[in-house]
Amino acid sequence: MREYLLPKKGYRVVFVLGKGGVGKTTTSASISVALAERGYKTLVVSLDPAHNLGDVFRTKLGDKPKKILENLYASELDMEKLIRGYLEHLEKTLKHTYRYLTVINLEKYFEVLKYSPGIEEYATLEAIREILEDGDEWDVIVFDTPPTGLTLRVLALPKISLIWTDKLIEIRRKILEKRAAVSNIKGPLRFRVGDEEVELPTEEEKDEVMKELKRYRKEIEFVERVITDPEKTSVIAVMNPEALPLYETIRIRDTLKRFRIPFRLIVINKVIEVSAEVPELKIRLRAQMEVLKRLKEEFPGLDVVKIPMFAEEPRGIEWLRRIGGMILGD
Amino acid sequence: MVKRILEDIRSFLRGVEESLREQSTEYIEFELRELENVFALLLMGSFVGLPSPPSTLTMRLLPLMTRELYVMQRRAEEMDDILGELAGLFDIT
Repeated sequence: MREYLLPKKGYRVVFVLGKGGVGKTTTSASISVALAERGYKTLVVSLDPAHNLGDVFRTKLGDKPKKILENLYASELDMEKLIRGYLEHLEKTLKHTYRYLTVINLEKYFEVLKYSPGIEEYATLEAIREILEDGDEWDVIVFDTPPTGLTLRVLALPKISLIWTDKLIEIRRKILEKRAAVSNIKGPLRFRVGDEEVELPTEEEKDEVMKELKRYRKEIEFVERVITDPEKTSVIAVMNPEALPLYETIRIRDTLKRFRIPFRLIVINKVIEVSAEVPELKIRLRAQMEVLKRLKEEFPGLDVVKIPMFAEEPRGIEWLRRIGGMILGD
Repeated sequence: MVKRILEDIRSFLRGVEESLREQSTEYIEFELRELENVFALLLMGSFVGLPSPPSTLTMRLLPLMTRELYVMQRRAEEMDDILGELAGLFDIT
């Protein structure tokens, strides 16, 4: 049994990464089925906007985890809906806070934020965070991720966000210090906009902006701690025995290393195995051998599982169970 | 008579003190406004082409930043006269 796929310290988080079409969803589903059958309460979540986890389980999935088998639950997150809901909620808060909107023309700012680059990554991170926060409900959480580029950016986000937040906290602290200095000499600072007058806070505990910054930092730090903990998180890369998926896997390894996210296993899917020589496949087989050789050189010491190309497309629980068993390795 | 002179001196000294207080905070206040401006600019950086912090964070802070946005907006409007303000601050005429 591959220990790094089983819960050790609380729940286990497994991210399944890879190029589009290599079999991420099938791999995620297989692992989940196999884990569930070994008695671990497993949740498999699809973060991919092009959902097909439901197709693999042959059922319709939604935001809420749906029971598939004993111990196995699955859900598909609708990112678009998530972003929309998020912005709507925010708009309401903003409208309430800025009743004097006309004074500072905030609506214009807000319009642009909707199309702010990277909003999808942030929404994905937010979704992951929410699931991890209730992580104790599960033994294992398997994330079926969107294609590599987006996923790597999402996994890098916590660290980048922490840097940003720390910088902003630093500036905020300076602002508060200056305010305190001025108000020491001149008395409390007042600020008026529209018909409202407020006293500007000078202490960290009273400043809402600082409090929000610290709250956000704590949330992000939590995600960062979970995804960099080898006892909690394992990343699996799925690839086919071809050159391009190999390059992508190398890229995955490098990025994960930079952000200290534990990369544990490569699943090579659709490996062609023939018992007799087939002339039509000769070149293809040679290329496959070449890739497998390169793989061994590039990833010394890393665990690798080969899943052969089956005569029929592996669909249905029976197949998932079989493939899952091969990946878990017992 | 003596009393009036004393009263005058006292009020003169009070005036001096007040003006000293004003002067002493003038620089800090200018710096404070700049910092508030920078803080807002950093969060709203995407509007002027600066790299922007996590959008989530921007959006969460936005409702709390009335003052900073106000300063930023005014700064943008008075951009022409920032030299004037500096000159005034350092008594350059």
